[in-house]
Amino acid sequence: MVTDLHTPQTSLARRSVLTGAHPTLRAMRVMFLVWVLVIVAGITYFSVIGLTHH
Amino acid sequence: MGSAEATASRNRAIRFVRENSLSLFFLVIFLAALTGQAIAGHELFNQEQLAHGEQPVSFWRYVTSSHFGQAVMENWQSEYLQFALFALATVWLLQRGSPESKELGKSGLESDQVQKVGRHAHPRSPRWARVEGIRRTIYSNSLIIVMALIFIGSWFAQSVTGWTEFNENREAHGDPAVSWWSFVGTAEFWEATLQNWQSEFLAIGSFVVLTIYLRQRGSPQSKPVGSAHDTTGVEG
Repeated sequence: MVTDLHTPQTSLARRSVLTGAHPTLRAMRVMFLVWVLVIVAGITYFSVIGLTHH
Repeated sequence: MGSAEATASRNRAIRFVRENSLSLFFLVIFLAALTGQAIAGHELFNQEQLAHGEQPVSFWRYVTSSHFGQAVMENWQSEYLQFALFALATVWLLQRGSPESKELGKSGLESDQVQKVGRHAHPRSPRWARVEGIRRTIYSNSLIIVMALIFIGSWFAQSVTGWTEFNENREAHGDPAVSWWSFVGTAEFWEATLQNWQSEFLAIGSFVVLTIYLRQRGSPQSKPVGSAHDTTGVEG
């Protein structure tokens, strides 16, 4: 339940915030990591290509 | 039981797409545009190769080339510069009537109470917002720090891919290669850099001003349709 996530009194909300165990919070974290991965991979990839004179 | 599990799984998938649709949408069109750029760039590169009496290259060779890398990275760096500067400038600078500006009189870093840090943090505040010292300072500026690092990283990648490309052209004309440091002082590097910066600054500045008088119903980037033109810092 979305409302649970915004109610700090519930054990579900506390567990979710600390561990990211709730699926919707886990999905949010996954999206963050996917974008960070795309950016870091892109910059690293093209830096290596430039530095190795491809 | 199996049917109930299938329904639950389908509902989870639908919910995932709905709750992350904004980032998923941009991820998909980013990858589509990048693929399109690679295909068109490969075609153009080979046309130029043939025009110069040289052998065409494979698609794989093209997407691992500095030619492609420079084209991608010079756009990335300017986008991250734009957003980092926008986030930083809007801390202090204002524009009457724009939803992209803070309300007049709220210029600056704001109080701990407004920012919900330290003893004003609530139970669900991030841990680094609750603590004192360097951790809170870092977290308070983490968005701009990371955006600036991405800008510097992609600008560096633009410089080294551009450097390799520059030296390949010099070699083709029988000229000696130059150092990376010499390349970043060339007109070629700065022309490629500034042509991207100017368009980003134009876009962000015009957006700030256009949103004074124009509206997009339902968008948080716009004021509510019925807001007065001089209403500042209110998003729809």
